[in-house]
Order: sequence, then C-alpha cells, then structure tokens
Amino acid sequence: MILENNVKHLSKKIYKVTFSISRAIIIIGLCFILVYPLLYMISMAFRPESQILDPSVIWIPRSLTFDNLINVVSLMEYGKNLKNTALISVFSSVLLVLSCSVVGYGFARFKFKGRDILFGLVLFTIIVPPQTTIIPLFLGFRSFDFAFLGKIPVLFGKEPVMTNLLNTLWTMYLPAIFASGIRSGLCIYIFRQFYKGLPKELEDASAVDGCGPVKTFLRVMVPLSSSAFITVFLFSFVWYWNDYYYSGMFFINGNTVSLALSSLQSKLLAVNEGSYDPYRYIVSMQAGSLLVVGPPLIVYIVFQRYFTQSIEKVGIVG
Amino acid sequence: MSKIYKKTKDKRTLSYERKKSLYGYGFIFPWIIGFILFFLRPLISIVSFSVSKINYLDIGYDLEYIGIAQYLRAFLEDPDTLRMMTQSFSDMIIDTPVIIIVSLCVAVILNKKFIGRTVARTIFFVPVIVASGIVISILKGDIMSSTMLAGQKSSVLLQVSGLRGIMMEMGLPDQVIKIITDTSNGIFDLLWKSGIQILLFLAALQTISPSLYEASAIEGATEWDNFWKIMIPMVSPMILIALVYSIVDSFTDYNNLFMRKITGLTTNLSIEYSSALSLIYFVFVMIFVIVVYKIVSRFVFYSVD
Repeated sequence: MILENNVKHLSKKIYKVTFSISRAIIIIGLCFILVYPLLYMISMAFRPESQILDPSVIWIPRSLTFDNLINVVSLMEYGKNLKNTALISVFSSVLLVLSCSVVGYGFARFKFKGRDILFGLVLFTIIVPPQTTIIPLFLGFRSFDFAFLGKIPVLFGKEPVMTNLLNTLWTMYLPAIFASGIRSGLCIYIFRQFYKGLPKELEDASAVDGCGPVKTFLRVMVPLSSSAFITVFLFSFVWYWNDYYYSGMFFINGNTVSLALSSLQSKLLAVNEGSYDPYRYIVSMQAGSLLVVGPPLIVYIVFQRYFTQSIEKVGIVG
Repeated sequence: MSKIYKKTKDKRTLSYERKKSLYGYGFIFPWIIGFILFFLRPLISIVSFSVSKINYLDIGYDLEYIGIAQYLRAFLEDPDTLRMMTQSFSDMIIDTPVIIIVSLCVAVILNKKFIGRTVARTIFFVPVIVASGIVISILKGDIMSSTMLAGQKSSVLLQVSGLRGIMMEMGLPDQVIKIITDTSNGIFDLLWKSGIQILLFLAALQTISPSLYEASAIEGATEWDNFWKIMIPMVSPMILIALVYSIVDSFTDYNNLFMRKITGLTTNLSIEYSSALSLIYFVFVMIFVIVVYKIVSRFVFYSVD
C-alpha cells in the first residue's frame, strides 16, 4: 500500500519535472528567436568589418570598435534627428493618450444616441489603411483651413486664408490632439475596454459626493487608470517613433531617425561614390538599426515593470 | 394633480438623462472633429479623385469628372490587380490561423507560474517595440536583398541553413526537407508578427477568475479539460478581436504587394489610379473582415457580467 503510494507519488513527480523541463526548452528557444536579431545587431555594430566572415568570431568580436557607430551617427545626422524624433514621439503620444482617454471614457460610460454607430466608426478607422487617405491628408495640410475659419474672407470677396502646415510638427500634433493620430482607433478601443471594466459604484459614489462627470473623470477615473495610460503611451510612443510613412510624407527634409535609417543606404552609396563594400554596408546598417531601436528599447525596459504589471492586474485589453 | 406630478417627474428624469448624454457627446467631441477633419474629408476626396482627372494648377488642383474609367482599368486592363489581390489573400489565409494558434499557446504558457516568467514576458513583448518600423524590414533583409549581392544577404540570419545540411546528410527526401525548412524559417516571421496577439490573449487569460479553476479541480478536471472548457470559451471574445486585427494587419502591412503598388503609384503621382485601387482593395478587405466577423462571432461566448 505504501509502496503503491510511493510509486504514484514518484510518477507524478517525474511527470511534473519532465513537463517543466520541456516547457523551459520551448520558452528558452522562442526567447532566443526573439532576442537573436537584437544580439546580432549589437554584435555587428561593434565589430570591425573585416571580422564579418571570420570563422572564429560568432558573437563576440576579437576587437571592439566604435567606428561603425561614429560613422553612422554622422551620416544619419543622429543628434539633430534624435532630438526631433524624441520631440515628435513624446509630445504626439502624450497628446494622443490624453485625447484617447477622454474619448474612450465617453464611449465607455455614457449612453447617448448613436453611440454604437460612432464606436463602429472608430473601429472602421482601424480597418482603413493609411495609404488610402495619405494623399488627401497631404493636400489638406498643404492648405490647412481649420473649421473653415479661413473661408470667412471669401464672404467679403477676398482670397481665403490657408496655412501651409507641411514640414511643421503640427502635422503630427493636430491629429493627436483630436484623437486621430497613428492607430488612434486601437488606443480608443483599449481605453474604452479599460473604463468599461471599472465598477459602476465608483461613479455613483462620486456623484453622491457631488462630482459632475468631468470632475469624476479627473479625480476618480484618471488616478485609477495609470496602468492603461502607461500601456497606451508605450504603444503610441513606439508607433510614432517607428513611423516613417506619415513623417516621410509630411516632412520634406525627413528629420526623424526612422527616415534617416531608410535613406542611410543611398547615403552609404553616395559616400563611396556609387560602389560599395558589402561588409561595410552590413555593419553600418546594423549600427544604424541599433541606434534607431535603442531609445524605445530603453524606454520599454524602464516602463516594462508597470507594463507587465498592468497586464497582470487588470487585463487592460480584456 | 397626479398629471402635473407625473409631468414634472418625467421632465426631471429626462433632463438628467439628457444631461448625461450631452456630457457623453462632450467627451467624444475631440474625436468627432478629428474624425471629420482627418478621416472623413480625406476619404471623400479619395472617392472624388478616383472618378476624376486631376488638373494641377499653380495653386492647388482642379477636378474634372470622367466617370469610372479608373475602376474599369483596374479590373479589365491591369493584370496585376487580381493577381496581387489573390496573393495577399492567400498569404493572409495561411498566416492568420497559425498566428492565432501560436500566440494563444504562447500566452497559455506565459500565463503559468514559473521561474523567470517576468524575463520571458519582457522578451516576448520585444516584437511589439521593434517590429512596427523600418528596422524589421532591414532585419528581414527586404532592403538588403534588393541591392546586396546574392549569398551575402543578412537575411541568412533568419534561416536554418545548418538544419538543412544535416537533413541532406541524413538522406531525407527533398520534399520533406523543404517543408521542414520552410516552416522553421517561418517560425521567426510568425513569432515576430504575433507580439500584439500574445499581449491580447495574455490579458484575456488574466481576467479569468480563479474560482473557475478551483471548481474544475474539485470536479477532477485535467489541464487539458481546463484548456478546452474554461480557457477557450473565456478567451473567445479576444480570439475574435485578435483574428480581425491579424487579418487587417496582414492586408495593410507596408510590405504587402498591393500596398506597395499603391504606394508606388502615389509617389509616381498617378493619384487617380492609386485612389481607385486603394478603394477597391479597401472594400475587398472590409467585406472579408465583416464576413469573418459574422461567422466567428457565432462561436464567441460572452460570460454575463
């Protein structure tokens, strides 16, 4: 009887151990696939180009060099572009997060006519690819006329007043202020789901205490939703940082790091007068990629504790 | 008397309701402006571009109505339209189910408690950070392969050349080798595409109440039963969202053939044709998404709150 129990216990233990070992193998393998390109990037960026085909070097180069990075920094005008990109992505994503939280709260907690249709339109904006609307947006920004105020002089027989917003940061900020920036539909959706999940009693309690809807939102809801704010901020920061479609269209000089990276190839060609060394090319491209990915990765690592926590605690997107 | 009382009561409740709904409109007001300015107006002008000829003036442009010639051109003259549409469609059909299954499995694994879970989670969200920009296309060698000499592509990085050699040595048939290498080359691609989906599923799994598992443990259910009887139904609303997201993502990816064609046409300033094509494509995607949504939402289980 005791023996039988022992055997049962043992087989259960063996099962558990094999299970966790195989799970560990799967997880480590998948993690490796995900980290591999980053490691490759780092390894390539710091090695002299002569060591690319060196069979004795796999990960750690025999000698470290900062030449690739220094070279790419000057080619990409990294300092200037980094400042500009940081400006665009931080401010746009903050504006977008603020506006989307307000809109998401409106969709989650109020009943009004046409709410479901309007929310359907929010989802609709996610489906429409940016390529569809980019040309009219471009033309619209070239002769921008906010709320048709510029048309007022026409009534008096004068030329309409139009502002050219191209090449200004307003092309990024304005849509963000009005909750229509990059993938704003998704941000609104996340906020709506989050606010829907908060208990109804909070609102009732604050209404009893004499708070209006605006005060309730600012005093009760916003402090509770820091995890949703962080998650959406992280997403939209990364999307703005990596964007090269909108910024490539609206900024003629291309002052963002993503754009600089996409034009790095032709710059490398120009430096070497049309002919190029493929090894030099590989290390330079990898160094450039590292410079572009670096800042958002650092932001992610700083915020990731809150980020994963927010997923664990509330299931923000549930 | 009672009539008057009723009237005042009605008026009061109505005004409270109306006040709340007005606040609702107030909250979504920024979005309404943004929607009209930055979405509806561009969409309307795209429709008008596609049925007109654009005459560029010194300042601005002028539209001249020419009818549906661009649409006829897309379907009757351009051989690329249907070919590229079927291509993107078949890519999507193959990718999406695999992405959903892989990300669901990964999310289930990450949802369990084990040593180093935080590290694993941190790593699994790296694609969300990196994969949306130009860096991923450099990593995948899309930019390089167009200019680099053959055999020196950096995309070798993502292939299992070693495995292929080993299998050749073992004398496996070519077909088998091809299938195995193709799928294992695909693992990278799929895993990098499923960052957001993993996130969505993990969030949904976190919301399942532990009491359900406790009840099922008392009933003597195994992990396998838990997966099919608890996790899948509870996660099913999220499966629907992830499915729609993956489909749209696959169709509107910058590297998608059709999207590339539209971008190319736009940069060549043949705006009329590119507007017509993007409208055709977009209507096609929308119809497909709606059909999938209607079919899948029949199987979705919503727990009553």
